[in-house]
Amino acid sequence: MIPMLMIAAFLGLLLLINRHQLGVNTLNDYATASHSIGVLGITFGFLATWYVGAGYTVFSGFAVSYGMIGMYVIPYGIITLLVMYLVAEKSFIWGKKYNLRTQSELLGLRYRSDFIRILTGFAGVALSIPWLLMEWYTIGYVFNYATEGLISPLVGMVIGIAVVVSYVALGGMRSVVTANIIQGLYMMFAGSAVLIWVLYSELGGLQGAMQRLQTHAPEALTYPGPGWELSPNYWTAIVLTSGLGGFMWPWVYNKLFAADSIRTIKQSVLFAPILGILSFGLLIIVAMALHPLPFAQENPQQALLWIHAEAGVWPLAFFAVLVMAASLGTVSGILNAMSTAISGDMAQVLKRDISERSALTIARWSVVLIGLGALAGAYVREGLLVFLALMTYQGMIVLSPVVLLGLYWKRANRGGAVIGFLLGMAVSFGLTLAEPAFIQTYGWTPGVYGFLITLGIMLVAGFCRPVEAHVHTLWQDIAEARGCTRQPVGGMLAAQ
Amino acid sequence: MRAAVFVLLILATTTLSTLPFVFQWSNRIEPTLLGLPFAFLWQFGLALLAAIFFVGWYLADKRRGRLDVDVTMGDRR
Repeated sequence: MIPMLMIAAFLGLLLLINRHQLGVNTLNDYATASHSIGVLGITFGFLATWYVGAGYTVFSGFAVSYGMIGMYVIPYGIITLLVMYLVAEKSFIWGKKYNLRTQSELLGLRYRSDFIRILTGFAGVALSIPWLLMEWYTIGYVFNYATEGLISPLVGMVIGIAVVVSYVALGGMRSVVTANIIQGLYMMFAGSAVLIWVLYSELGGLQGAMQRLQTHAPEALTYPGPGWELSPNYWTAIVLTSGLGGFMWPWVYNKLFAADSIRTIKQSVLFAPILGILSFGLLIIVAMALHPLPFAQENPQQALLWIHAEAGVWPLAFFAVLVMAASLGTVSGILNAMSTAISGDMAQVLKRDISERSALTIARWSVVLIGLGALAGAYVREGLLVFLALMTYQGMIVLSPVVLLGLYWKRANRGGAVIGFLLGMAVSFGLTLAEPAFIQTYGWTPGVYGFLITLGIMLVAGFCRPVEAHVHTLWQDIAEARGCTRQPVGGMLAAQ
Repeated sequence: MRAAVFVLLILATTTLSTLPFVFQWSNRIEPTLLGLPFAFLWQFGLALLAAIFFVGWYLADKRRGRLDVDVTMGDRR
């Protein structure tokens, strides 16, 4: 009963705090909160969106089973933050000057191509679906576990959907970020506290747990972990794939357009590593400490919920809310990004005369329909969801050369970006599905090959053609902004 | 130029934590600290080093006035 009440109280708190944020009138405000979010919102917005609820079930299950390999999130997080720091300035300047709302719109501006805008918008939506389904599944699963079966997974999903859909559809980015602050603060402080409590009350403390691992399963303390034969190249590949792909998700990237300044974004990069390293490192240590326990070995994905239930009803309640907070944070970001992409990057591009108000209505109904459609997650096997979610990273890494070269290399052009992106995706997903022997033996994940194909094609195409004329104007925008000169309203593309 | 130095420094930390032969060297239990194996300490340590480089980069950007650029919001394109 206590876990159920705590979850209900947490969901009620999100709605209560968001009640003043629900009056959004334009798609621009819905998508970017009119570029008004400060450092607290951006920091916790990134953290709450990035930390998925499945991290406490499925992905911590990897650490329970195989130990050290779960640590790949630490170096991958650093690469992701480096990408964030690198793209912050230009994304912010062009974003504000041209009033951009999404990553796809930014790419459409940079490559002067509606096709790239629609293509990357569609890819972002499609690749986000498995994550959305997996997070809904996690919400239903946690409801069911925390209430000892009183609330079925399907009913749990419906409750979660009703709460998130209501505040995302009505309040847009402002509501998402407000909720993210609550979720992020809970995850960092209450969540970390309950993990430490369980580590010391149930697992003998840090040194005791590590000593037990050294005695019973020392192989779990190093890569690749017990019962796995993996090349060290695999470690390199998963860090690079996740690190470069991690900031390419539209639901993460779009928060750059909500920030009120470059200072805000860059300050967020400073806070995020410390908070991320401490909280995720703690999670992996607790998960690994469970490795020697027979129940955890047999049920790795359930292990963290189980040990919190063993610790008592209050630790279980706090942990259930922790998983719920992580899931809702991700889901709200995904819903906001997907609905903005459907309305702004697809509907408004295909039919130019759609007004801002109509676009907002389309975005709101998209949230409702996506929410209902995601109930399908209840009927998809969990194993398949995990497979699909992991596969999407093989696609996201392919987008990284299109974004990074687009922002930093004048010669990057539309032809190279389109052909490189499509071929890179084909190679990446083709290798994932075909699973040729060299993928296993050499250790590089398919996304690495897709990334290299995209990068290679974009470089060749860039040297084959002169710099596109509009690019000089975009670079001039950056130079002028760095000089702190005020920009004329409108800008190059408004004048076209 | 200064940005390139920080990018290189941060890339160096990720190289030290991911490049196969360096990673294999660090992939061991001893020495330990508070029971944590060296493989963990190496990853944590490099991540904290990267965080310090981020702080340095931020301060350098701040000194050059690159954090408060003035851009007027334009019309939608």
